Amino acid sequence: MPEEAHHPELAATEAALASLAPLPGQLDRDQLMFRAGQASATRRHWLWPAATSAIALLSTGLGLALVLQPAPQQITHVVYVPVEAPSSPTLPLAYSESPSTDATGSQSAERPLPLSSYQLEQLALRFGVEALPETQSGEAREPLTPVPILDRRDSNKLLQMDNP
Amino acid sequence: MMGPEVLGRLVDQHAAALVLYARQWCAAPEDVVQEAFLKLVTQKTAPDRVLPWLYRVVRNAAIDAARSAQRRKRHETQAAARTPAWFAETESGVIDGDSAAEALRSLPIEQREAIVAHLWGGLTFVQIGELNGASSSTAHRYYLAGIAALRERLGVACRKKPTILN
Repeated sequence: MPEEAHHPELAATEAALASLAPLPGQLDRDQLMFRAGQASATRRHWLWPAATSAIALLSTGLGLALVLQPAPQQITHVVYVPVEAPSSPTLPLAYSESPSTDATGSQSAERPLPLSSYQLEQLALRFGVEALPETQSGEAREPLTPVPILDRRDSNKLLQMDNP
Repeated sequence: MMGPEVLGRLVDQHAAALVLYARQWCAAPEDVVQEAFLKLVTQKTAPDRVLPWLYRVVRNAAIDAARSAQRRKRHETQAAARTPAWFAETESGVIDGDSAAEALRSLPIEQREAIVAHLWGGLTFVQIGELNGASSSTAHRYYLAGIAALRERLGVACRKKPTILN
């Protein structure tokens, strides 16, 4: 389309009209630029509000699920565990034997057999020093008596007295 | 994303013509033009041809605004009561702005649209045809008919070609 091929008699009217400058009316340029800045900023920062809303929604859903879930059923399992009989008869025998009591409740005069040093060592190694029996302490031990020192003549006299 | 410098230049160069273009349909053309510029700013990618895009958005919004105004009779009467000036005062005195506006108002909308878009908006007749869904020949025909009608109404004298005396 030849756009400039206008009729010559219309060119004057065209030029006269073109000399008129249209008024912008009440269009406020500053307000337009301000609102344009607002619009561009709003469009750019939609991500964080959306993420915040999504997280808030997820948290609310999880909280509701936690509150509204049914109470868990209490299940009792009975487990039978086989207990083995004590394998070493020497230590429990010596250690676990308590003083026998008669019908009146009085403790009998019979004392347990003293443990050998090997048994004491095994007992201490296996169960610790605290497991050593109380009877080995000093209160049940008989007091020591001093033995007189004999010379040769006294010892010969004693030997003669034993062999009349 | 359009920068503020480009937007400011567009507003300075084309806002007034866009307001005049929107005024052909609605009584509040400033709002329509402002919304068009805001819509341009919020576009993810700027249109290839910004000016025809702006005229298209302004045209659609102005027609929608005119339809809304028709529904509200009260608003329509208020808008009709005030007749703001379309053109600025010129010192050339070739043509009076108010007379030109009055003559333009008397034209059919197709001729007014073609004259405003081509004469003050700078759009080609192809672009004007794309705006109103017509061919470029039809847009050109509207334009010529409108100019001829304005010439009769305004009585602008024809430019005489200089004669060469032998």
